Amino acid sequence: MKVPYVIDVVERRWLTVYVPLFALLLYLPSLLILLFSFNDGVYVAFPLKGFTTAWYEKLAANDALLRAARNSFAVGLFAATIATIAGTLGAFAIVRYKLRIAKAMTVLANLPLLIPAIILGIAMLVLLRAIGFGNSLWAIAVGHVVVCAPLSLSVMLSRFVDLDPALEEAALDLGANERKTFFVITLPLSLSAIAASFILCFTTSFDEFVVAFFLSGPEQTLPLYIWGQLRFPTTLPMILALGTVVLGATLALVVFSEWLRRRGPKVAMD
Amino acid sequence: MVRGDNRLGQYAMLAPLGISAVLVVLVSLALILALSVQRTDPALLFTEFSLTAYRESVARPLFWMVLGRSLLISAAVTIATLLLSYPVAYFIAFKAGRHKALLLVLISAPFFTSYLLRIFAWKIILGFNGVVNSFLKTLGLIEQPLQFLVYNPFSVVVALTHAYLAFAVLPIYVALERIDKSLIESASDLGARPFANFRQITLPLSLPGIIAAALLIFVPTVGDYVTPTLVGGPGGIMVGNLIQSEFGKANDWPAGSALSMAVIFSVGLLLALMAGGAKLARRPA
Amino acid sequence: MKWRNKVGLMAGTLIGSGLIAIAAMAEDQLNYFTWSGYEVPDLQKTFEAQHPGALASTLFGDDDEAFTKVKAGFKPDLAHPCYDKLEHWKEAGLIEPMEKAKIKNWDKVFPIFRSLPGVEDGDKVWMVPWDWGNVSITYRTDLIPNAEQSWNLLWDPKYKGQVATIDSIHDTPLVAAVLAGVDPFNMDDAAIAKVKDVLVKQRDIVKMYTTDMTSVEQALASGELVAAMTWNASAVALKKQGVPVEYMTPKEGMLTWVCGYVMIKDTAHKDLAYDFINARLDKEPGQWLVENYGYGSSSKDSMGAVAPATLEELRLPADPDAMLKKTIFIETIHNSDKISKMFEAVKAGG
Repeated sequence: MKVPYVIDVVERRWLTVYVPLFALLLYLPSLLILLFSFNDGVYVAFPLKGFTTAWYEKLAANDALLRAARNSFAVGLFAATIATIAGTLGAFAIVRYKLRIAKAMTVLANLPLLIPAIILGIAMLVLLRAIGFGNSLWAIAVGHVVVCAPLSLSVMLSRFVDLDPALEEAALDLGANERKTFFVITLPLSLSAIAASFILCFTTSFDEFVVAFFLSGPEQTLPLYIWGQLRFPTTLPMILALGTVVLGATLALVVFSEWLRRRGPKVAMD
Repeated sequence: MVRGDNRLGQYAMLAPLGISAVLVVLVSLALILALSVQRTDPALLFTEFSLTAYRESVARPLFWMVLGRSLLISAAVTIATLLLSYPVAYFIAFKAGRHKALLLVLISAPFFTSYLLRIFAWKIILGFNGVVNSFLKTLGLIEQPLQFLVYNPFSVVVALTHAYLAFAVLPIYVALERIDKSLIESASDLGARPFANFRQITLPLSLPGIIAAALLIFVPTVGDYVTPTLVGGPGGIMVGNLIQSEFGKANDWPAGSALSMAVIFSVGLLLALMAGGAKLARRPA
Repeated sequence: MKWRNKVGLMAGTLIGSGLIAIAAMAEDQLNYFTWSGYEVPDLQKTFEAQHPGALASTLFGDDDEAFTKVKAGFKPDLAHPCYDKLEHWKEAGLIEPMEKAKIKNWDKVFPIFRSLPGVEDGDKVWMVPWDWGNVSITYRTDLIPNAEQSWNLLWDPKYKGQVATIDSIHDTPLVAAVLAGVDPFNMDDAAIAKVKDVLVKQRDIVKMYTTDMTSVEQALASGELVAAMTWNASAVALKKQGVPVEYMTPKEGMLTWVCGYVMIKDTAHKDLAYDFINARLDKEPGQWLVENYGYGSSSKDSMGAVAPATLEELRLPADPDAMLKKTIFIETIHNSDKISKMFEAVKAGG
């Protein structure tokens, strides 16, 4: 719904300048990563030495690096999904139901943010070993759910606080039970927040390094791999190539889904 | 009303969150509390009760200086990130129309390359023969490259701000998106000038999102040790580095735990004070 | 909820779980906890042939991190720390000694490493040395013509902000101790105070304390740094890229380190562990190590197999015995915890 504001013109003018500048700042590191992934030199420093695709070829042959990337992707997907579910359910219960432990719960659930990651890592290692769980990718996945849960909770809380209960109450009055109301009314209205929570959680997990270190077994995640490779300067350009590939794949996916959307039925959707 | 009858079901909704976050948190806190009051011993973790760790590690000026520095850096990062991200979140919420989802993903996409890679990129941007220096040299503004751009608190702030941009855009966007546009429209119809309209309607209504973003950025950055290690230089050491070295190099877990308790307590206190202050400010005149 | 969304939700969890499950470790494997780069297949050929698929390596980037992780409860079978940390691992009760008789290539290890204090214990052995190397200064010959061959270069106010040093207790504080005239491995409180003064003087000169050799080499290549404390491999790599550097032989002596295998207490895979160690002490792995990473091998056979020209380029002698008479060997550092705290305090500004 397009609203004709008086402020539109003013906003439009300076936002049109600001947003592209912001985008430039945002992408500047990525552009450099792209640039140096084709540089014919081991050291990431100017001046550039010449064009080469050798790093990409080396990347394709580097099992360990590819496996680490795959592992990070898997763990991220798992952690983001579970954390988002936990955060959504929890936030909804806290906001809608007058549960007595709600306040305490909110504070406690946000605490993982406050506790230094090294403590979380050690504590979870101790905890998981106590229940017989070993160091492994599963352990990292569980660890990342804990790290990401507060993120999801924050986003979903801020969403549900703003959500007008009138719609849900209308549905309930019309005879729907609570479960149906939640899935048919509440969730679809919160899709953007759920997506935001998922993206935040995935990004966090993908880059998370400290907890992953303590919980890791033979299967590494990408940050662990990169950190370990800092002693080997010759592998950096290959990792830059990986970064570029990941970014490229994400952008390609975005373009593709945008194209799909445009081609889809022009009927109003959910 | 139909709601509120199924207590068990309601508590069940809290269960996943409870298990993951609360259980682990309680265990972690219990662990470091217990460790922090132990006497240091290379072989055993739990020996005997002793406050040496607090006396020797927490009660020294160095710790408070580094903590103060960390809090300042985190505050700078939080403010910078919020200021930079708000307009973009605003743009996506109000101006983007059908392209919202697309823009959100485009904003998040650069963060799918590894954080460590992006720090290396910042070293190239801020470094000796880097982008900024080359640019300034070509413009003739400087002769020798600027040496103070990297390996100091400044580069820590820059790297962390960039890393957390998406963390600000997303929550603020979520809050802005739900603002009832008719409120803004009516204010405008009633003659409110654009900026006043923003300041009195939009900004306050987006506050929950801003606060959520601020917390998500400020709290974790205080304890970060990876960024200061890579680009902090000698002057950029933060409290996370101190804690990490006690657990690792110095092999003094009680000291590390004591420092952690002190950090958690200080930041928690700070947040409680700010929340209390905000409540006071909101009281009607 | 729309079926689309339900499917998406399930898909996310399933794909994630599936990928994780694929990566899960099989039973009866030897878990080797080691430096990133030491798990490569080229070093494992014999063991792989004997026990296909039996090796699972967990990696670390720093042996302090490794120690913390094992102390916190991680239980691999073998670990690969460095000699100066051996006492820490012993004191914390994390390792058990190995039977000398079961290490068939034990005599191939250079005597100088075998006879290090704390390594041999009757008919048992606490650590099997495997790799060694040097620490010295790599400096730009074009930016520092006629450099004085001394560690003092890293303290020279002329190069303020252009120098880097290694962020670890068994490198920088040891050099500072040598320059302060105290015994680096037996420091009492008075000595620690002296060393602290020396380190504080260096803080204003140093641009970074780091173990990130990638950044250090880049900075040397671009000229941001004119000198840095590095391992010998860095100088070789920079020369290969055409950067005019030299690896100094300081008059006070280079530092020499040695690392090796320790057996974690109560490991279930002792036989696999011995097979692994014996395989690693064969000629080929050590030779590969020298030729590819530029570090020395503890095995006489391996060092003997490398071309003298390569050794020359790497500044490694064929017999460490000769070199070690002139370098400062990094042995057990007493009071290392106190020294660590002092070093951290200096770095943080206190």
